[in-house]
Amino acid sequence: MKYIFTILFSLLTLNVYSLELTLSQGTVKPTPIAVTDLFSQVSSLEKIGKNISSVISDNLERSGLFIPIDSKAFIQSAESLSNQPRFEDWKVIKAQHLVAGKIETNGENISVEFRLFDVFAQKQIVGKKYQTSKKNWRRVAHIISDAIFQRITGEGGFFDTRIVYVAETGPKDNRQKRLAIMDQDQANHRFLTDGSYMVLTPRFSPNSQKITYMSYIKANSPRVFIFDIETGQQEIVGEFPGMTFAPRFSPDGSKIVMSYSDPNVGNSEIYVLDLQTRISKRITNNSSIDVSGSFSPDGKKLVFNSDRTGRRHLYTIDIDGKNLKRISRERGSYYTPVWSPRGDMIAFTKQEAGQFFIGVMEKDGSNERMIAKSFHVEGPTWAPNGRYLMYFKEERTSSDGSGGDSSIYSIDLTGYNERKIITPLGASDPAWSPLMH
Amino acid sequence: MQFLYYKAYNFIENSQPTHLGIYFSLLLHLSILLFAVGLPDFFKPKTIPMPKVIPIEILNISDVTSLTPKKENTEIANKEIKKVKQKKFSSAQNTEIQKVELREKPKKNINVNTNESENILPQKPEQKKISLNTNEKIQFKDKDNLLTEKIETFKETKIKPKLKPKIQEEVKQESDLKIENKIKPNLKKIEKKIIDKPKPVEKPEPEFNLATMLKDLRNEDIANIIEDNEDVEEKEIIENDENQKNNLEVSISELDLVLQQLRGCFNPRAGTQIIGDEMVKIGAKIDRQANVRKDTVQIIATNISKNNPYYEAITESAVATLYNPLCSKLKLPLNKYDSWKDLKITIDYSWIKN
Repeated sequence: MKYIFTILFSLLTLNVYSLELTLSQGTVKPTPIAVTDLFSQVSSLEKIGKNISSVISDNLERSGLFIPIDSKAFIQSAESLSNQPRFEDWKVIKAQHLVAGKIETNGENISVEFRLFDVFAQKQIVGKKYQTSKKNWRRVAHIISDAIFQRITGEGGFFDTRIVYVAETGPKDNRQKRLAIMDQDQANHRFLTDGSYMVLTPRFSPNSQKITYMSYIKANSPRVFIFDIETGQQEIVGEFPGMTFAPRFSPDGSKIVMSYSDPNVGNSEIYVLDLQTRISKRITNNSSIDVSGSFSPDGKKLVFNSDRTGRRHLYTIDIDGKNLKRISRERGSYYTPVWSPRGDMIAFTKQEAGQFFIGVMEKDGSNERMIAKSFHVEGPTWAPNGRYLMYFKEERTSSDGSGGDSSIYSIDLTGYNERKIITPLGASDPAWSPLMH
Repeated sequence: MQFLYYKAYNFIENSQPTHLGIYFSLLLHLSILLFAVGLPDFFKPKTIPMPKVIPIEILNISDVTSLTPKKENTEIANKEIKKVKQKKFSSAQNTEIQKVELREKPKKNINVNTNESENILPQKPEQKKISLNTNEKIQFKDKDNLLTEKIETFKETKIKPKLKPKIQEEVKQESDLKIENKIKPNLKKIEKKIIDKPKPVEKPEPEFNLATMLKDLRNEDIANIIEDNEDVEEKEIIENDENQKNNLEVSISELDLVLQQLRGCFNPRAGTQIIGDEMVKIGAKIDRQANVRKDTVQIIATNISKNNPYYEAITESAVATLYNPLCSKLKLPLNKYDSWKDLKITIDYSWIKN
């Protein structure tokens, strides 16, 4: 014991000259990044190289977490960069990260190579190569954006995703609503339905190849349908005597949760339908209206809203119908809950004092906070990384009947970086697809 | 008196034997007290308690101040001018001065040698022989170019011995080393004149007495003298370092300054999710100009699991703090290099969550 004390004392009394500091404050700001044009020795590929880097730059800028540096400030050329970056040249323009790469042709295909450098540490942190057909260059750009985003922030990307929504045209009393789909950057827009019947609440399947939605193909009898994006085929999900609506896929894509209004019961309940066996299972059993079911990421729980206490509140329940728990505690009415892909939060629509809000709360209902508000905001949907949300906002209709247009917006989970998604027509009910790669 | 003795005897005789011990003890204690304190002097005049007097120097203050700060300033100014004047030597002389500074220590060796040679007369000729040994000098020159430079410069300034001709008279032989030995004391004096240094290198004298004597006897004086000089230099450096260590601690305001600078360089990556009290401790070596040495920034410790998807984003942003160009040169007090040459920063991420 004496020896231990002696050693400890001698260690303590050693003159180790080092300055120790504790830094408990910093500056969170978007990361400056330099995205250079992909270099190619073939002139026909130069344009594709530029387009790819342009898409990457736009993606990163749209995330709100990066500031792409203007290419006019670049000192080192793309050609020189394809050999070895001169980090000092990039430090000068205050780039913290550098994206460089090259594009080569391979017959009909192209191979796209990119490298992400940490300018401060002067090292490469990501290097990947993709081979695809020329027409897929945009998708490659999104995949590269995801790789960059994930490596720098630690969060999964969300650029290689699509958005399905309800495109709206026409006057209020005779609104034409059809399904439309586009990339998250609004490219590759197309309509999936012709507008001859009304569609509502589209939702992506986990493999992004199918969409489930509610349609009024049969007048006065809305049904849940599944739409195959690749083939264009539609199929009805079960023949029920009453109305089925508000469908949503389970995380594994094998089930659908939906609301079913049984004419014998008279109110709507939450049901889960197995897509393989086509057997439906009633989850809730109450005289009140239970709607808008959403699976937790592990598929073991559901969140839904119910008016069983007089006002609409949010509840969670196990998939076997047990452990019912009310999670919303504040005043106001809660609608359209959606469980985050991360599993930690639930987004919802709230109506209180004549205003609509988009809010988030933790899965137990704590830390409720509103991130967007307007005359009418509704229908939140999560990005696959659980960091961004999309919702639609409807403008107030003026006294002469004009206005009332609705648009889709995206917003950061923190309530910052709200951006309007440009669509050719009015847009509502957006649904964000999972990552496609 | 006999009566008193009788009384006392009777008292002792009549008293109980158990009480006798007490009486003897009392007597003994009283005698000790008397021995230690002494008898009170009842005839001494009473001491009058005097109030404590605080001496005050009374100065007359005239309406016009009699301060003469200007004179002091002028004196200082004159001193400065004098110094400047002293510096106005030719360039050759200036170089000599610099070299003298480097050779302050060998001078004492020479002095010691002379003193000892006076005491031990038979050894004198041996000393001279050693100094004449040119082979050794040449060898030494080959070994150390710096030394040869020194010697050469002294050769150039052959006039200098005039300042102290005594040594020249003692040793008339012509060799580089001799000249060096002789000139040194002269140069020392010159240095004293030029630079107002109060006997700069007198401390190691006693050590050199014996050492140099023995070395001279073994015909190794030249190399050893130089070695000793180096030792003395090292000792001086160590002493200086020790003195400096007292002032090594970086003050709070200096810490604040560098912390403020680091806050600007600490940019946690936007989007990184902080769950709890994530911390990263990084270390780096800093050069004398307060620049972060390349490739020395490393993670010393962290409480973040490598399974955490944000591990790389968090730790890399911590390391990037010291690689940030804004912090490439830290605002640290350059004169306290030893206190911050090893920098350790504990980076606390909990504020992001809060």
